[in-house]
Amino acid sequence: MLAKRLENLASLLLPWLAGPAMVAALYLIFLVVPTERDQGIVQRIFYVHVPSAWTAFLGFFVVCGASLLYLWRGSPVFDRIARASAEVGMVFCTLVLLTGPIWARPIWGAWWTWDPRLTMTIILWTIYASYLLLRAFGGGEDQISRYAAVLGIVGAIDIPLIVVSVRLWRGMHPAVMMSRDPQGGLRDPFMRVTLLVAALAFLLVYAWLLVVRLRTLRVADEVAELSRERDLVVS
Amino acid sequence: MERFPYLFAAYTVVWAVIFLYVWSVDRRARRAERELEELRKALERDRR
Repeated sequence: MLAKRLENLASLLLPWLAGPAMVAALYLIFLVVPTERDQGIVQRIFYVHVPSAWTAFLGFFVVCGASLLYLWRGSPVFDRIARASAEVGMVFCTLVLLTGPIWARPIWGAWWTWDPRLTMTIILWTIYASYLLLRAFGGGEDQISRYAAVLGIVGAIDIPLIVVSVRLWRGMHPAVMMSRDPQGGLRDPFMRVTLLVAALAFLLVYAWLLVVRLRTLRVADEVAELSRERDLVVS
Repeated sequence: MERFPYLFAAYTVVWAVIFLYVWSVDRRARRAERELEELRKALERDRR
């Protein structure tokens, strides 16, 4: 009952928090933040590309945590959280893989390169696409949920590898946020603030989508339970 | 400004993907709610 009330409150509040946060982020991105000297206007893709990546990572870490709890406690609530977060995480991971090449084309002169970070990110996308396919076509049995939980946990191992890959293998992808160079990173305070506001806006959109998707999955589980009950009444 | 189309494309893609996902979740939510309502009514009828 408390969970339902929290769900209702969150689905009511989150759009009203996410909307203004997104408007503030867009205001900062297009009207406040200075244009980067070398890349020019196209560098502003950074403010959606990086928050999308962070949000996707968060989404997949939630899948990992909820899957561990599901395997431990067996509660369908954790299974639903994992499933919903995998789907929303995939939306943001897809955004990373779409905005990255659009940014890379004018800067690197190529839409795509098999750079370690890009390759690891596409592997991450493929792992969670497999997870969602397993959930969609595997049926609703507990065994499928357990297989999916293991896949959800194993998939998250790729995330730390993506984060450290720019340092370990030195590909083309810049290490803006992990740069050890004193001249590197985001030195302009407006750039740092804009990135943080955009990250907050993406986080709120993630939370809102997660709550909406969780509600749909809960209703679908109720439908399945009522169908079973009806079959018993009819027979 | 020659790079503007790339910036425009990136932000268009972001909004298009988010709106498509919201639309798809909303559609699935409405269908699930409808099914639940129909099942509740059917169960009520069967019990009578």
